Amino acid sequence: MLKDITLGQYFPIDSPIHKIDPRMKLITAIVYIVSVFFARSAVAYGFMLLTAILLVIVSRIPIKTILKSLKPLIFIVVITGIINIFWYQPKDSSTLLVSFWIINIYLEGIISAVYMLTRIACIIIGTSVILTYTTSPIALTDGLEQMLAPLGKLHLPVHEFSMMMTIAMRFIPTIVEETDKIMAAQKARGSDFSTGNIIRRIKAIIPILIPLFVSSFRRADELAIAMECRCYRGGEGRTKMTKLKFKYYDFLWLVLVASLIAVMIVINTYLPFYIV
Amino acid sequence: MTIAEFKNVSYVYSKDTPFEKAAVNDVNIQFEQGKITGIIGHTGSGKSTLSQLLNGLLKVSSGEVYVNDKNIWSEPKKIREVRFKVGLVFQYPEYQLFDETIRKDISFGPKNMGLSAEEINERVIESIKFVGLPEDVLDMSPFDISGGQKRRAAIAGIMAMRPEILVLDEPAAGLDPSGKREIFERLRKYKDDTKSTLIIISHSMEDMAEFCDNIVVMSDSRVFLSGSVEEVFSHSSELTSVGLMVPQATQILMELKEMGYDVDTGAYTSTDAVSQIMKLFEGGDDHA
Repeated sequence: MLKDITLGQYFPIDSPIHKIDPRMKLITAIVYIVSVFFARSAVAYGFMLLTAILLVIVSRIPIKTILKSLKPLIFIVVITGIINIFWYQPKDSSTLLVSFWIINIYLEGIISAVYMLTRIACIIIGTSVILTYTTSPIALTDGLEQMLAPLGKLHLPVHEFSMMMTIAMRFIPTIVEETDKIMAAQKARGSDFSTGNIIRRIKAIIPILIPLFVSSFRRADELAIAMECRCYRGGEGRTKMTKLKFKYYDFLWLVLVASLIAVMIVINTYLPFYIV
Repeated sequence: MTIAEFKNVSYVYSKDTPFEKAAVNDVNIQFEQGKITGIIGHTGSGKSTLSQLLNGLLKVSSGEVYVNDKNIWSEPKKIREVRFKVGLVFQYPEYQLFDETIRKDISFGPKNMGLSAEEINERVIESIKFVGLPEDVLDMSPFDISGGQKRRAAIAGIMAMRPEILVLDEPAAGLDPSGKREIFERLRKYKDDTKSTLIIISHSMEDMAEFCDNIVVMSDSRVFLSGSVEEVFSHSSELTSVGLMVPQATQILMELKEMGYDVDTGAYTSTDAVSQIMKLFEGGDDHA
């Protein structure tokens, strides 16, 4: 069922990472990605992989869930790996392993493919653990709104933008549930989504899409009226019930993640194994 | 005669995830041919899950579902046939209308069955009569008619498949009392004319008491009570103990009994209750 999709789904448990201010998480997610790109030696990549695993352990997200969310990416990862092996531009010092017709496989090519895969894995695991798994969508948009607030001075509709995002995210589960229900209802009338050629299958989607659109418009209309009834007039002069405030551990977290960049540089300089 | 049966049926949602939840737990029910069976229970008691298990939209986690003495999962590829045999009208079915005209929408089910245009047309006319809509509605858009009419058109869409068992999930939800009464009366007439079997899911004791022959009470994913309406409502005190409201008529009689009057608390329609109370007045002399 559609309900079972887990990619980047928020996990409402308690962990040190869950407690961090969403703004700081947004910043540190970017810093983490940057630090991944600093890695050059084998030791550095190994270290990054270690931090990714450490993040998962600290966040208390079940390993099974993380692996499940990586599954749809296997295809992309494999393709990337293969392209990296064959497209490696050899240097004088490169070691030729296999030479067959026009295909030359170098040891360095394989290493760079492995590096690439490690990089992708680290970025996906790192950002999903720092951001999506441990931050509720509402907290995330809240953080985004406060971070972008200065842009409001330039008359950019920051509040409206984040309200739109909040509403869109709020309605994802509702619409998924609705889709499930309409699909079941049409199946009860003999709709068949799983057999036949592509044209037949596309045609079978129409009886789902139309009711879904109609009810989405209806819902949007009702929501707009409900908001107006409570005197919603956009962001001007609006105060917040829970104002985000940085605490000491938020900065501690930033220092910790930022120091990864320094660690990368040090490792690259003093332990330069297999730099390609 | 039994037309459909649940044998030790259990169903678990989101199996093997942190959200795992048993919706139906070891349920045994027999549905009698030609009768109206009501399934009553709280929100989340598993009654709607039962309806989807009966027509194979959900697959049982364990146990068997029989329709016409045949296990519906014996041939998983033919599960569509079961869906034509067991017509299911979902809650608020008006939200599933999609085609340009009501006629086309009602034809959707029969068309999926692969019937001829003539046969489809005949069934459309027949089912629109059953739900009591005028024929000129047929060429209107589903978005141009009233909510009550939409509901009936959606029900007609299932009736047009001529199912042997018609299952309706809260068919009267959100209708006013007269609309409710009309829907139930039309359903009863449909059942008598087509000699089919009706299963109604509802949380309204009043409606079910008046309309059904047999009742199954679900509580906490299990069958709590089942039997004829008389049998079930003779257990009024047990029903109240699991937090289910008994019909108001029964409630009044229960309170009278508590006050020391000799009444039969098994009565569940207002007419029966009135005659019970009138009896008190007739024999009032010896009581006073």
